[in-house]
Order: sequence, then structure tokens, then C-alpha cells
Amino acid sequence: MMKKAYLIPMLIVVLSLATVVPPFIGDRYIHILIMILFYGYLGACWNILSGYTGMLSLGHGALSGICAYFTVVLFMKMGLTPWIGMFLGAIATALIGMGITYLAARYGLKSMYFALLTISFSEIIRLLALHWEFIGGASGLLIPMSKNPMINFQFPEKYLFYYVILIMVIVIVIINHLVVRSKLGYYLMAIKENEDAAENVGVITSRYKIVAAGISSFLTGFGGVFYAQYLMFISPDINLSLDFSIEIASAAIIGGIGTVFGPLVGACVLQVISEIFRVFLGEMGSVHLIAYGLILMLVIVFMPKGIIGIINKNKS
Amino acid sequence: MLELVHLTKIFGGMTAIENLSLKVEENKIISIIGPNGAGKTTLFSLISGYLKPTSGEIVFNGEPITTLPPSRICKKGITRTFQIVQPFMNLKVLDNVVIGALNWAKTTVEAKDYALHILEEVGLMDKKDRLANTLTLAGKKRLELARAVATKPALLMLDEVMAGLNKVEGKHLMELIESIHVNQKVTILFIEHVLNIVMRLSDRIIVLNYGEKIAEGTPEEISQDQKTIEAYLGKRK
Repeated sequence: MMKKAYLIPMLIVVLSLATVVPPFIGDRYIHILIMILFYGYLGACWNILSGYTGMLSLGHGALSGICAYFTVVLFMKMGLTPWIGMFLGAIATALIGMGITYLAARYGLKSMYFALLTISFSEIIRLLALHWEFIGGASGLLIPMSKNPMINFQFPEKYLFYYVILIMVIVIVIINHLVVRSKLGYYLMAIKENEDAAENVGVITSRYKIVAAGISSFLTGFGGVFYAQYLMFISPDINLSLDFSIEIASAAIIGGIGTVFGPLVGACVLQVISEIFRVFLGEMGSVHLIAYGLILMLVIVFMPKGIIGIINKNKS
Repeated sequence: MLELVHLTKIFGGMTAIENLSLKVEENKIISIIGPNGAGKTTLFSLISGYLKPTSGEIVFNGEPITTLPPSRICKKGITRTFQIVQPFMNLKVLDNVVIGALNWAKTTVEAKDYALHILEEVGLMDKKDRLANTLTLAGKKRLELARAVATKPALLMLDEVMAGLNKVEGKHLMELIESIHVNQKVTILFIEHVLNIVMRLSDRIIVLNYGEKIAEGTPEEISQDQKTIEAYLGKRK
């Protein structure tokens, strides 16, 4: 395991650099940093359900999209500021995530079958949004610039968004850290290891799966709202696509499944790779996804515990 | 404390347990013996909630627990070990036992304290930071016992804990179980094939054959029982 003695000074250095430097590096690089933190944040949310319990979710993209739609529609139709709307959206998202997990627990759907359930959920949501004109249908919704940008989660400068996502990442890392050390964390790991044995020592497995799904979906919702406010646009193809869910899961799997910092490390690797692809191949649609797929396969075969797993192994 | 009332379990066309009634009294060691396929493990799975009986009732401390899932039954005070050991293989030895202790502990600190105490008792203290899958079979059995004891059960069900152990390991484990029985004041329900251990430890023995109770009594009575001898050795010509 990582020694605390190294970890804390390292964190302080990284954090101060992350706080001071960005306003001076220009929008292009800020955007890359924002995307790294954004996928790191969602990967860490995903981790709380899928990383610790082993229930592979490919619906987290859609969950984040649901919250984004909820918040944006409240803002556009009723004028409710996203700062408040996102909490309502996150609660709704948590209820949906818990509902699906309840069904999975009730009917004993595990691993692969849970993944299939979340894929179908994700596609159903995307198709609903695609055909529902009230929320913009296939063309999505363009968020109008408001007169009071700050009050409505709209920032004129990119680096302000950067600070928002930086704070979100710090919060999610702390939450992950607390979960790992709590009773919930122990129970989630027990569920991942062996459900029968966990039940035998008093772990009410269905209850803790649903709790994990609730926390995970609630926090995922904020990620979705951030993305919508950052792009000032939501559409089924961006916010509800299966590709989006796969990218979230990939970040966590490549970085190190069920670890506190894994999703961030994974997001960093993936974003840098996709940037490199963009520089050399231009905007050729989703070429970078081919690289993602390759890396994902290599990681699963050669380092199932991800990059963090390799680092920890070398240290001990 | 535990009472089975006319318990029957049928798998397809096969009757695994037939109209079985029995009582387990507090602070005793009760053994269930019988030839392979007699329904012993099925009986354990019924009591611990992994299987639901076709008919009949299971009552624990005056409460019916027949339809409860295993986790709820554990909360009532019954836990078991598995015939094929099932520790949390990729977790540390200490964390395995902490998860058991969290059954009652309010905080993880409290659970950790108690887990360390139990590890000391079962003799796994020096291996507490190792992953469970690095232990030997004897070590894994001790760990599974420790995890079960950490839940503070009133009734502990042990499914063939001696299987696969050599004589020395078996003897040590047996001493451990006796000391747990005394120190933790826990009632023990045993499935065991090693008969000399059964004879030495049990207050009472129940003999199953083809899902039915064919004899019940003290070790002395059972060793003289004609039906039991027939079930194990066949009829004298």
C-alpha cells in the first residue's frame, strides 16, 4: 500500500499546482484538465457502486444525463437556478439508481446480468429523450445565457468551471476515502468477494447494494449538471449515450477498480490519449474510442487491478 | 433454543429431509451424523436460511425464522461455517473478521478491537495482514471460524470443520472449538464425519439417514444403537 508519509506531501504539491497554475495555461489546456477531472469525478462516483461491490454499471452516463436534463428543464421552463435544481435532480437520479438496483437485488441479477440491465436502462432513457419534444427531442436543448450568469451556474471564463470541477473532485475523493473506511465500505467489499458468505455474517446484501447505488447515483447527477452547464447544451447523443457510460467505467477500470485515486489516474491516461489522437488524426469522430478499447483489453488482461494496482505492487 | 417442527425439504422428486423434528438446548454441543447423502448439509442450509423448506417450521428462541434470509437469521444469533471454506479471499485476514464483528459493533474501531481479540484466540494474530487466500486450508478454516464467532452468535453451526485437516491440525481446531464453546458461551451444532471427535465432544448426537432421524441420544447410547450401526456398516448377516 502507499505510505501515508509520501502521500500527504505529494497531495499538497499536486493540489497547490492544480490551484495556482491553470488560469495561466490557456483555454485549450484548461479544457483538457477539465475533462480529466470531469471523467475522474464520474469514475469515482461509479466506483462507489461498481468498484466496491463488483456490480458493473454501464448506466452511469445516462444517470448523469437524467440529472442534467432534470436541472436544465427546471431552469428553462420554470426559471429555477441550477444551483438548487441540481439537488432536486440528484435526488431524482438517486431514486432511479436505487430503483434499478432494487430490481437487480430482488431478482438476483449479478455481474454480467446487472451490466445488461444497466445497458438496457441507458438505451431506454436515451430513446425516450430522443422522442420527447418537450425536452428538445433529438436536437437537445441549448441553455440560454442568463442575465445573472453566476447565479445560474454560468461562467464567462473556462478556468472558473475548472475550479468548480476541482472542488467536486476533492469532495468525491474525500467521500470515497470515508466510504472505504466505514462499515458500508467493509460490507461492499464483502459483497464483491462472496455474497453468500457476506449474508452468513449478517450483511443484508440487498440493502447495502441499494445504499451504494443511492450514494453513487446522487453524486453522479452533479457530474451531469456540470457537463451541461459547461457545454451550455444537452442532447441525448452527448449526455445519454452508451459511449459516455463506457468512458466513465473505462476511467475507473484502467486506473484501478475499487481504489480511491484510480478513476482520476485512469481519466488522466484516457484524456491524454484521446488528445494525442485528436492532434495527429484530427477530429475524426470517435477514433479515440478504438484506442480506449485496446487499452481496456490490455489492462483487463495484463493488469486487472489497474495502474494503481501496479504502483501499489511495486511499493510493497 | 432452536426447534425444528416437522421439517421437510423436497428437491424435484428427491426428499432430502423428511418430517424432521428436533430440539437444540442452550449451551450444549449437539452433533448430527449420518452417511453421505443423509441430508446433513441440507439441514444446515435450511436452518441458516439459504434454502426454504417445502413444509414445516423452524423456531429460534420462540420466534419463527423459517422465511428469513441468512443475514436476518445471523442478526437473530445463528451463523454457520461452510463445508467448502468461503472466506473473503482477496481481503486481509483482519478485515474478514472485522466484517463479522460489524454484525453488532457500532463503529469500525469497536469491530477492529474485537476482531483482534478473536484473532488472538484462534491463533491467527501473526497473519492478520495477509490476504485470506494465502492461508493454508487449516488457516482458512480457523479464519472462517473466527469470522463466524466475531458475529457473537448464540448458535454456531459447523459443517465438517475437520474435513481435509491432518491429525495435528484437527486436534488443535477441536481444542479451539471447545474453548470457544466455553469462553463465548455459544451453543454448537456440529456436522462431523470424524466419529471419535463427535463421541468425545457431544452432549447429544442425532443420526440422520435418507433425511430421517433414525436415532438420538448420548454418545454412549448412539454407539450401542443397532439402527445407527446398520446405517453405517450395513446389516449383520
